[in-house]
Amino acid sequence: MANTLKPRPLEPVLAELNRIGLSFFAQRFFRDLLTRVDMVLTNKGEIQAQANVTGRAEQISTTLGNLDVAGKLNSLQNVNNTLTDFLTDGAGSPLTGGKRGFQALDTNNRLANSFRSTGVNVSATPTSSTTLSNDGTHTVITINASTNQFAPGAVSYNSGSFDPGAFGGPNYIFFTDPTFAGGAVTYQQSTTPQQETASEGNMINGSITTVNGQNKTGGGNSGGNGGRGGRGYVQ
Amino acid sequence: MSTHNTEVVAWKRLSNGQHAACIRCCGDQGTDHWHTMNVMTPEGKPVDPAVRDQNLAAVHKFVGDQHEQMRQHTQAILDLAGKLNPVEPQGQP
Repeated sequence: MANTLKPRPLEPVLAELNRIGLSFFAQRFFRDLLTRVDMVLTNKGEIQAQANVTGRAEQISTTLGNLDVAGKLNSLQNVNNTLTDFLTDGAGSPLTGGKRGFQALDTNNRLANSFRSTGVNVSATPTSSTTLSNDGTHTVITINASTNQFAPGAVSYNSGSFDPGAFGGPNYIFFTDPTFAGGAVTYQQSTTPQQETASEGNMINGSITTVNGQNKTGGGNSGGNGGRGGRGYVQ
Repeated sequence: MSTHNTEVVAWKRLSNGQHAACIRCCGDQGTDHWHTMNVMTPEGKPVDPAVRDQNLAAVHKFVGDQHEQMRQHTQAILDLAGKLNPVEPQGQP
């Protein structure tokens, strides 16, 4: 709303100024001064609530209506653009954390799918009956190229091998794939089964015990004749 | 059978002291095969270098043989696709 204030009647004032002999230019000065002051200031020198800021159509009481005595916005309800893109993330990263939660969780506050978990906590079934083999001549354990069936989909892994340097076992074979990317992975071995679950991204191939002069198999969904199956299968 | 060339393209030491080498055949990244080796046997004795090298050679051969199988399988698929889509259009004398 435009300024509704009116200046005092100027004719009597100008007539008095003319009577006392002020020049035309001086009279015009007082005319302009009184016009501006009467429309903007109070007798206390305060800005009238009905005054406008130049270039704005609303009265200044509206312009400043949502600021408190300290000049701060009095409520977040009085913000036009509520996009959080304009906010800086605070202590504890609530914005970043919220985005991650939105992506990883479903509407029931559960993980959206298994791939949002860590490998060591996800069930999978090898599609091959065995994945580990040893020819009884070399000490090398071959891990065949294989596919693990997860709930969201199947992931395939390249072949690999592990050389313990001697026959025997059991050799617990596992690898790390924290993002379920598949492809070429580095297979590791341990003689202690608890190493299979010692890292969040670990996935288990199974185990195999090798014997000099005998073909042995292991891993997979059957465990073969020299070990046990991969994750999700108990022999 | 085609001739295959295998080579070690990467090498790393694992956190548990084991060493791993990535063997690739014919420069094809899809054939990448990581071979992991113990430095010490489970009994705590150093691995015999001759046994280690013999086994590494066997792995190189395995990777080459596997690539050959992949090549033959791919060729079989292409041949089958060719039979399903005859070159000459139907109806010509």
